[in-house]
Amino acid sequence: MKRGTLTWVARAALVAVIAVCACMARAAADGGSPAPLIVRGQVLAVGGGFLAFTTGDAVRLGDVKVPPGIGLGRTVRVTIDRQTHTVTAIDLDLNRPVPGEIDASELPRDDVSVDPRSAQTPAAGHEVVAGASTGLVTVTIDVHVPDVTPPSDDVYIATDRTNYSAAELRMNRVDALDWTVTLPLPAGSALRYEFTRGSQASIERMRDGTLVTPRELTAATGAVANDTVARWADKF
Amino acid sequence: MRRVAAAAVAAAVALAAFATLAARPARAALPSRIDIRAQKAGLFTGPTAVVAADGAVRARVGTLTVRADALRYDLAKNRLVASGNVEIAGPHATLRADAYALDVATGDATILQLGALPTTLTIHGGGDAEPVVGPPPPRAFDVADVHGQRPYVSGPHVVVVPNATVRFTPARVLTDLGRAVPAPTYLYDFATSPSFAQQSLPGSTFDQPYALFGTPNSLAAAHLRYVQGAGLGLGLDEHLVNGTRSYVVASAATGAGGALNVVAFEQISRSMSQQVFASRQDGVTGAEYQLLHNEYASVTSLTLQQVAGYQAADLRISSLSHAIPHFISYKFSADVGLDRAPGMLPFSTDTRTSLEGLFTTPTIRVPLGTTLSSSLDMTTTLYDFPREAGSSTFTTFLAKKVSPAIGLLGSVQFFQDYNRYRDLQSFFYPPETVVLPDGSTYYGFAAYTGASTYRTYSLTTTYAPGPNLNVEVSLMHHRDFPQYDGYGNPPYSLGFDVRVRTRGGPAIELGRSYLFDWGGQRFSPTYTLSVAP
Repeated sequence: MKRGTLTWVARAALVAVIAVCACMARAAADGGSPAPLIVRGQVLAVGGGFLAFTTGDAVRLGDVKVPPGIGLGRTVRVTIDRQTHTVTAIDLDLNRPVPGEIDASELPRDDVSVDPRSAQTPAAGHEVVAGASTGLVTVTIDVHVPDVTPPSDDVYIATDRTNYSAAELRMNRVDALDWTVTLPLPAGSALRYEFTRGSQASIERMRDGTLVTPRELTAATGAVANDTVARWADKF
Repeated sequence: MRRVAAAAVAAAVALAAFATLAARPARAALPSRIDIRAQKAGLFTGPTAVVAADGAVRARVGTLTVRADALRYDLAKNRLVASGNVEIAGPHATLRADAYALDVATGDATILQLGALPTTLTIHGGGDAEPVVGPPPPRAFDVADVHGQRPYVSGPHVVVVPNATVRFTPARVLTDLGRAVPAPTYLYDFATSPSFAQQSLPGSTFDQPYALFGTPNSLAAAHLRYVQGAGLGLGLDEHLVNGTRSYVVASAATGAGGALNVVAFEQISRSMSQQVFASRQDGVTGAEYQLLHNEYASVTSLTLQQVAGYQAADLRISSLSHAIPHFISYKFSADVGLDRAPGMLPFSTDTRTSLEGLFTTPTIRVPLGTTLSSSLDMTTTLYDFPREAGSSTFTTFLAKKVSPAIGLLGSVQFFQDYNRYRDLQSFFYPPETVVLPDGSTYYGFAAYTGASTYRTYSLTTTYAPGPNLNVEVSLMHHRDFPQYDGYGNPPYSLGFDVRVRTRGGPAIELGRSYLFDWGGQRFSPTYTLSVAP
């Protein structure tokens, strides 16, 4: 065999080996790399190459441009590369649902860049509830009113959202003495409220006639308050 | 190596933070005011009332000055969160951070540093507490997302009086019409006590309050009012509130329909309370005083009333409702009263005794997924002069939930009342005929001698897909005696009522009713419109 022929064969073999290795590497990469993580959360701060959520957890920013308008409290969706544990995309358009999206409170510890001593774990820190830290949850308030309630009267709830406006929210009658209302509230927020028949003169009172301290409901998914009006200010 | 670097960073932060301990607000002592200046600041009154300030923010909390790119102050929780180039300056030290949360009530502070490795550090409010490097307390940095929302009030300078008011100077205030109007200053009160919602101004078609001064225990406000038929007027009211123990609300309204009113309540002891209503309107002065005593299973009340020369006194004892399980609930009331009405025939002074019984069945399930409940309320009053009056009301409700959003409610009510004057019956109820609006004569009234019967049948459908939309359609049939064309209740009526709450705005209620075959008209449409905060 001529030397030139040997060189050609060696070159061809080398190319083939490189090609095979490349294919194997790609195949390994395709088959072994985990899917990116989609996380929805509120921004606390951006700086030093990190994005921190209001949960207190920070994720490292990769090669991504921080969009303008991102500010304190703004809800964003970030994409995290599970291999590099860095943010590869920040999305401000949250109208489009993304399957597999998780809340920032459920962020796996591996993806959080944080001093080990200040590491947050679900057991030690946040109570992990789906959708607990951002977005709206639906709560239901049911109330049973006294027998003396005039049948033609409606029942309202007055909340701290309107400084207890007596006719703030008309409830829906279930039957003669039972009423209900369903409210969307920001998860984790506290709602203080009391019941009225539409005016301050017909506000609820404690059983002993004293003024009512507003009831409080913390918004969580599926939260239901079962309340009873002991008596009305003008009917006893 | 990385761990060592991280530890070094954390230690540095801890050391710096330790130096700021003395700069924290005093524990458990809310500052009298929190002064916030920023390029733009706004008050957002959604489910979470929050002041949001952005751009060159400077906030003063007691002896502490916080500078940051953005700041949020939760008015309900008295919690401050600052973010972006945060600088916390106390009397003795200054600390820089990327985010900072402060519970103004307790003094607990949490700091986030996004340095070589992000670190959080918590300083508890105790005077000798040491900073702790570790996970932030749950929800320490929670803030409301106000992006895309319009502030109710905005302006560059905000003063928050914790648990009381927020003042913007100058201010732009969002009106119910969706436009923001400028004002030299605007005070928003976010009273933590519902007693601040007590009103003593007379009713109006439109009322736009403008708070003037406020503290955690008081609020003075001016009101621009429109009263249908009387026109525009001004009102002024002052609230004084002592928690759930007492309140006084005094008001003055000008213009036609103007009035001076006072409403007051005081819980004298655990079982005793008193309240006063007093008013002067159109030259008529009236006052009512009520003393209530609550016993274990009853309530005793003494009520004194005077309106334009008419006086009344009532001593009443009412049992609380008592239930016999699965059978019936009942309550009774007894009342002795004295009426004095100068010039009234046949006597100007009269005494009366009333007895009342209320019986209510529990709600029971009946076929077709419906529920049924009934009540009977019977009252009789004996006057000293020859008169006896009474009433009875029997009501039955039938309710069915068709879907989570749609409910059906049917009710039948029989109401009867009677007035008997013994020997003077023909004096008070002389047999007479009535000339109707169309000129014809109605003879049916001749049969009316003081006993009336009112029968009401109604079917109401409610559609409430969410809290911001409530639609009611009601069909009602009245079958009364006496009932004659154009008087009393319309024989048939159909009405709908739509109540919509705009996002972060007022509730607008629009109703339209059709009255059929009443007052000589085949149908008579009427509109109602109301706006509630």
